Amino acid sequence: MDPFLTSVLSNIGLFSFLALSAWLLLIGGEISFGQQAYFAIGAYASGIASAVWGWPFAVALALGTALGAGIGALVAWPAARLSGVHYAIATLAFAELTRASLNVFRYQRDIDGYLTGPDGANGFRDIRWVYEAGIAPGTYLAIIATLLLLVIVLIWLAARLNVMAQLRMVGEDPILAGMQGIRVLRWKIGAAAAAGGVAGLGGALFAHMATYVEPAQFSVMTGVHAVAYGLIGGLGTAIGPLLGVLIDVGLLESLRSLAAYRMIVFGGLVAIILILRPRGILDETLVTKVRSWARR
Amino acid sequence: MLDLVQNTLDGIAAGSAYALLAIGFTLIFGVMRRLNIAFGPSIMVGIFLGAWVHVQWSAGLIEAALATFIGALLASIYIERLSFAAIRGDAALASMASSFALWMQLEQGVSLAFPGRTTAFPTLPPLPDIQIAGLFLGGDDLLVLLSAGLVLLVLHRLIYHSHFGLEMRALADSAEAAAVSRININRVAFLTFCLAALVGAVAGLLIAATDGQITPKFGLWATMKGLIAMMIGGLGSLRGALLGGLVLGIVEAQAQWYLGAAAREIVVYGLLFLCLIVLPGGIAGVRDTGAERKL
Amino acid sequence: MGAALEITDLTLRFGGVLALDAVDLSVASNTVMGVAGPIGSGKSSLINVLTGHYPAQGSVCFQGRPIAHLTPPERARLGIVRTFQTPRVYRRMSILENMRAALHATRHLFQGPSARRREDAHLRDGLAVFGLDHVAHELPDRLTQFELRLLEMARAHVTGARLLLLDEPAAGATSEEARQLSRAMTEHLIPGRTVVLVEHRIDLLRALCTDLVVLQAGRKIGFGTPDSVLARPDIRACLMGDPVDA
Repeated sequence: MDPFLTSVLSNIGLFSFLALSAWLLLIGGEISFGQQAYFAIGAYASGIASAVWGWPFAVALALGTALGAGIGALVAWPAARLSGVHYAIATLAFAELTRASLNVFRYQRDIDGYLTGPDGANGFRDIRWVYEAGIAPGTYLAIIATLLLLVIVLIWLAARLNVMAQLRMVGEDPILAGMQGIRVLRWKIGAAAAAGGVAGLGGALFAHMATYVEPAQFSVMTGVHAVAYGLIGGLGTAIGPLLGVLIDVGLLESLRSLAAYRMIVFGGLVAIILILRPRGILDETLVTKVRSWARR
Repeated sequence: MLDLVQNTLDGIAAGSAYALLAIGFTLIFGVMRRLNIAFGPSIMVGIFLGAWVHVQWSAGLIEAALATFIGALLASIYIERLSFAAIRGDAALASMASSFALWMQLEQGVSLAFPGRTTAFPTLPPLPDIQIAGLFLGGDDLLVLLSAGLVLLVLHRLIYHSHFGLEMRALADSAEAAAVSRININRVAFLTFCLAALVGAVAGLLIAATDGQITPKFGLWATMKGLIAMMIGGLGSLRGALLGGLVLGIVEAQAQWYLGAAAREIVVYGLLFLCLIVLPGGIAGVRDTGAERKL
Repeated sequence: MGAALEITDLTLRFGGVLALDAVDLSVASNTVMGVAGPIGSGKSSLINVLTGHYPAQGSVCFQGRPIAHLTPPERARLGIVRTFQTPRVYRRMSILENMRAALHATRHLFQGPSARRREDAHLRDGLAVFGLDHVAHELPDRLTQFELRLLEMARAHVTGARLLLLDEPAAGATSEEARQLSRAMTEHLIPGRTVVLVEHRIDLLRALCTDLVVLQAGRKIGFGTPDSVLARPDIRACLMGDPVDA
């Protein structure tokens, strides 16, 4: 496959994890500007596991995912009691706290004569497991795609088990949901754990593709983009955030002629979409209408 | 001990600019119940217009200040029209995401127009530094403090002793009640946006003139400082915004002195996170921020 | 028949204001307890306390079991279901999904296809009873305020509620609509259930209630059968002076 296409598709895949992560919380009625924190945690944890400790790749991925989910739940445990703007800023504060901490986080070991491991603001080099195992970019893209598909299947399964419906109840009207027997706080924490896990997995995959990560990559901008993807694509289905990523990374990054004006074009596009459809292109109303139409 | 007092003094000078940013955020949130995260970038457009006037015609501080106000106003109006007036009031998420989208536009627009890493900005007129009992207050800091104080006085007068201020407070209290009291909600919201832009522009101007140079990163910086100060002080309270700004300035100055630059960030964001969890109403103890859904 | 709901010395404060002042109330199984009183007398507060939304002092027993310490979800799981003065539905879910939402908390996550079909049929029957079956797949924004009330009742009906708390179900309804709501309640919603009915309309209270309690400023000022209570001149003055009813 064309290397450029492979790299664009891989980026789309990786951003999709982040977008799905933010989307899960949006469904539960919370905006998080801080999902990049779990992306960073997944990247660093899995990187340390494979590059410093010499763990197998799959185990490193699992560690990144588990840590993302665990810390996600831990942060949500107090934060989910907050609502609206407070929750958004609390997640932002946590993410910036994570980034600032990674700026001073040093954990280096001598691996084959090289100092390997996170080196504060200088970043974390030589996460080379994929490279050393001789996995071609095309194959790695397939791994990303498979895991992304797995996440989507899990979300689909959750929808079959009425899990998504209950999360939507919590997101739309927590008071009514509570009076219908839904334990709102548990759902919010659960959603945050799931979102943290998805972002952690994405981060782990990102670190092993890039082989180099640094704290500055996990800035607020990354997190706000993740929220914007879901809101452009639509909150009605899990396809929404993927569509958002596709519009931004896919369309605009591949059109090189637009590169210099990318943000101006993307920003304008988003502003117009949000005026016309405040909950995105594939919003709940459209999904309901399509379902209703399909029944006839 | 002297260090502690000196740091506090420095912190208050920096904090007074943060307070103005936080007040700008609070004004907008108060009447809109929606967050305009592109507030910082709109000020950034202002100071770049000021810098452009300065570079183009070697204009002084007065002309640059006027250009800053005009730039911030125009950018704010652009944001207000597209992200707030054009989007239904109950779609707070959409407004926030939309203001972010416009932020991206403004930031890239400015980066394209000013390709250098930094751009020169006219500096403040030199004022003598003050030294009392071993404490030092720079002339610039003094000017910043005085200007911020003046803006606060004017703002207080406007909000609590004018008809427009009354309409604004009514709208902040309850949009429905304001509407049935024959207040033109759209007009008041629009004017409040403009007022916030001017207050923010003063802060931007003071900071840019103190540094003598500006970068497109100012937008992100100003939004973060304003948001942090507003949340620490208590969302929706003007008094809280003022206090939050000063507290943020003092904490930053102390942390910088005793722990260093890297730790300063950790301390500030740690404080913000803790503050939100332990004290969601902020220092001002806001009970009902209007952000929660009520029965 | 024993009391399904036993309220003793219930007190609710908002700052310095007493919203409920040492209220005692006993509701027998499968009867309708009407609650009347002027605006601000504590009627809605009573419902909000019973659902667990407002924390209050005093004891509340439901079917012999103390529930005052339970959270709203825990009470809902015991079969305590309410409607709202301003109908509350999920605006971004179809009407059938709104019906389904009422059942999620109390059944297993996993539903086989046949179980799901059975449930849908049950829910659509419930909608049909209240005349809403034809819009099952539409969004609630298509409904009028009156139809939203019917949807809330249909939703309460299918949950198998044991204690129904109805918060002014006929507020804002025309007299024809109120008649329809009253019929729907007597024919479908009320039979076999214990009901607390907060209402302004005297005609509705007379038609539906077994007993009637009148609140004023958080205090119980009258209790008995609707006819006996509404015959008292002081109560009539208290209720008829109400601007809503005037």
